[in-house]
Amino acid sequence: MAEGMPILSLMVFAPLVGMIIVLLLDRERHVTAIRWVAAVASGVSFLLSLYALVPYRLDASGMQLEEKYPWIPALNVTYHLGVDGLSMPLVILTTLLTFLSVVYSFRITERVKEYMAFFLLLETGMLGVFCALDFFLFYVFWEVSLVPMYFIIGIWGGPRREYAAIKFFIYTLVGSLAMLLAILAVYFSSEPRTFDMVELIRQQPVAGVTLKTALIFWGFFLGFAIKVPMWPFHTWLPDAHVEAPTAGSVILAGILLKMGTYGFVRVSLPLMPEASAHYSFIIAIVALISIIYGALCAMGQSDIKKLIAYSSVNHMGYVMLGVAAACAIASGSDAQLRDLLTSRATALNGAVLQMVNHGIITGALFFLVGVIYDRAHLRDIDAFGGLARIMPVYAAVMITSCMASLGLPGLAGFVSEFMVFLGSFPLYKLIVALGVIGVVITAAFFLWMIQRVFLGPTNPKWQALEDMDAGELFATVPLVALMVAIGLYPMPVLRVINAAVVPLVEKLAQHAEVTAEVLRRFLG
Amino acid sequence: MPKPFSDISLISPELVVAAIAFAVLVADLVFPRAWRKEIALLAGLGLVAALLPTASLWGRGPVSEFSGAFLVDNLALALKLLFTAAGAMTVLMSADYFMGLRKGFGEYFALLCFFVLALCFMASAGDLIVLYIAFELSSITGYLLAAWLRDDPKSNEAGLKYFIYGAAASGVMLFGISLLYGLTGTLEIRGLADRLAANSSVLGGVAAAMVLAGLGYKIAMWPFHWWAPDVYEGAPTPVTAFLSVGPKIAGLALIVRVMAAIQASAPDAWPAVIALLAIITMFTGNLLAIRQANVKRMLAYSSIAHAGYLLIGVVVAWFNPTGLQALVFYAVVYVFMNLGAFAVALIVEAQSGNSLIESFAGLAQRAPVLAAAMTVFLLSLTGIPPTGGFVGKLLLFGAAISVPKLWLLALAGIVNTAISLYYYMNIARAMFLMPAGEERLERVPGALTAALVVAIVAVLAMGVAPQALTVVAEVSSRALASL
Repeated sequence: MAEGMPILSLMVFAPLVGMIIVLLLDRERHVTAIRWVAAVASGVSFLLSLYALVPYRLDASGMQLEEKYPWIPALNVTYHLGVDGLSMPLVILTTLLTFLSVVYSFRITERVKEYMAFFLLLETGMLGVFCALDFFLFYVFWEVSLVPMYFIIGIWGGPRREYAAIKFFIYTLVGSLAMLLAILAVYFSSEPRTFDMVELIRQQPVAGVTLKTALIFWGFFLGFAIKVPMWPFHTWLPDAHVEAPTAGSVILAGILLKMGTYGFVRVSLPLMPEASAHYSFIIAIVALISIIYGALCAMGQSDIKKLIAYSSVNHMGYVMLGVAAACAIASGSDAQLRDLLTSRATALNGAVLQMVNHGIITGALFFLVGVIYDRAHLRDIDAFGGLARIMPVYAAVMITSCMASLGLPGLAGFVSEFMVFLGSFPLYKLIVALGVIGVVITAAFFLWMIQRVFLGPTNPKWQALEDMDAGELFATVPLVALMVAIGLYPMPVLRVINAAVVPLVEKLAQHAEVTAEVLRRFLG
Repeated sequence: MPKPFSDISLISPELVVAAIAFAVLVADLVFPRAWRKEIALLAGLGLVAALLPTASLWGRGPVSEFSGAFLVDNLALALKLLFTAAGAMTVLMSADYFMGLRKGFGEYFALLCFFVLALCFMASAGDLIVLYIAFELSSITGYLLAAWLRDDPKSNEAGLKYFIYGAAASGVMLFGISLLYGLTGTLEIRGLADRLAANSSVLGGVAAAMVLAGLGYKIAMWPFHWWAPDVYEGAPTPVTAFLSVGPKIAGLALIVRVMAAIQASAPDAWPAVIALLAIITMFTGNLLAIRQANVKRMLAYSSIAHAGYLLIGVVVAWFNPTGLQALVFYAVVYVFMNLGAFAVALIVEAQSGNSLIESFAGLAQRAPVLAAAMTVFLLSLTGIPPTGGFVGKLLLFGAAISVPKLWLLALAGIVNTAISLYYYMNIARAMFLMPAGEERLERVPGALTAALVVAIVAVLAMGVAPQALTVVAEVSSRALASL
């Protein structure tokens, strides 16, 4: 690789260049060209994200491939990009899912030019969030990813698209504005003033647990928790995911939700370790509620897409449980604490891996719901039956994805959920014990859905349905392959994640002990 | 007896603007009707030319002239540049709009130039008499321009309403000024603080409140905002556009100056009062904007809300200069994004004959570039990156957070930002989500296109590369401290 090649910038802005080209093309005469430009732009971005692995040192902690230039010196804002083991897997997930979504979206025939333009803008926003290391830049990308999604849901969505789109937009904007206040408060606490995340984490301007830190912590919390979404901030999710067009749902569930959990791990934990420890129990409880409540809601749905949407609330709850465990307050002997350190690392590794896995699995599931909806124009579980006989390939892909989602050993979901539970158990025994119920419910509703849709007597109404076409297979087969690969041999991914997790967890453990000590003195 | 003035160049921007106003009047008399375009061009180019003497004064001062009646500092200069640019943009927006007017075409542009002149004097007002005269000149030109479509009853109503409210407000303000003069024996704004401190009385507070009421009317601050929706709806759209930016910014600048002048003697309750007014103003504007079906009315309420946001800067300016920096930055962004939004509204109005939100339906398909431009303006008005509106709000809310206890003000701003998203997106919804009619949009006149291009470039540039404007705003904000 050429020394000093700004590989991250190229990757982040390749879709934006694609968008500009798309905008210059004629919306009626150049429809095919528009599709291919979008595919090439997101494909280039995907290849660049893979190419970034060449210079990337897999086992190194700390930021890599950094780019840093002054941007607004008057406010100490820098253009600062970089990746580590936490963001690298999410970056590749983003480029892959977006590329597949764009290719899948070749079947969109209405207002193709605007659709592809919004999609490419969305990709730049999402990649920017995962690569930005300056809060100003981070916020800009965070918001840039919001606007195109509003239009994607609003223009190409289902019957209640307008309501869903504005609800999504207002909800997430409330969260991000709370985050903006928190960012500003952190900025004005730092000395010298800076928006640089790496520098701020080194400075620790809002360490300790004061009223100010508490407000900042909950400001960030609101921003991230709405995005995740954690109960009780999840109500935008079923509307948005169900009404969005197929590829929009894929991106929403696959990537936009990860921006929330990523924010917790990238910002909240290292920037406010004491506050995180202090409030970890609350996060764990909310995560538990998300797990159980999300699963129960999914169980109650008669619409396949809504079922998968609610299962996201449940699955993201596992991620948050792992995050809570990583910073949980703990005390004990040195040996016990050392054991707990391993548990914390396991939980956080599991949480980050769960982000990746959920992106792959739920991304695939939303594609697959799109497949059936495009043919039957229905998504009611009860309307189908015996589809396995009519669409065998579809049934195989769908059932594999469902199994991965419910945590069948050998597939990706199991590995990360198991690690989260394993790591969290020594820290939150009761919560984990209750959380495992979520897995049972998940298995129940997925199996029940499979049974009613694919098995049983064939509904003659659907006799003429065709099996998956090449475009649909192109979008889903790579994801299924990844489910199997990560399920059987997760080490390559975990190795990258672990390199970033270990130093973070060590720091968190220290602060968790300090907090425990303070609490003990306070109570006793 | 000191010389009345020592350096005539300090007042050169005002002289140029006045000269252009008269030149336009004479040209309108002398040249035939067929030369209307050239007369508009004269006004536009003249205002652009007036930017030069203002810019060349940058860095001069702070000095006062005419025995302290006229101040020149970087704050005043920055505002004059802004007012002149806004005037030039308004000329671009007006030229084709008024082309069919039976009579009064040339006078319109002359009055617009006088309006700009009044605002420039407001920016430089060093004593209360100049402040009042400039205030009145801007009001009277405003009344006339609002009623300029003399055959349109709505326009007449707008002018009359603006006049009645304005006359009452300026009467109250004049009463306040006379009280201040009676209490202190001076009209110089700078001298007020010492004299007020010397004989503090309740009356001083009452007088200052009366002046604030007059200026509050200018910026459409609660509870003096009632005129805005009717006037904005009825006035010719280019006039509405200018009314929503020019007088508002000038009024805010004067509030800052008066506050800074009385700061030493005034009780600390003042920032609390302004903060409360800011919060109520924001909520009033944003909540009432939600229900509007007419874009001009909606933008009227939005401009009330923006007065509230900008007042945050006024409150912070009491404590540290970042408040004024944020205020200046946001004011510049606000001028361009609001003028831009009105320019699009103007085009749609010319096409559909009304300015209802439903007239925007399907604009994304009928005129995609126009719809995209409007979306950028709306996102900027909401405060979403990468637009100037975002950086402006970041500076405003950041300034509030930098002062202990004022973070509540930032919180109120945030809540309001979320509310405002709903009604701004209502237009985006119409443009992108609603089905289009059959007709494609007619060609947009060149002058209007130019105004749009300037606005969009400015709004995006201030969002992506805000360094220069941040520095200018910072330099301007130091003017008060050094005086």
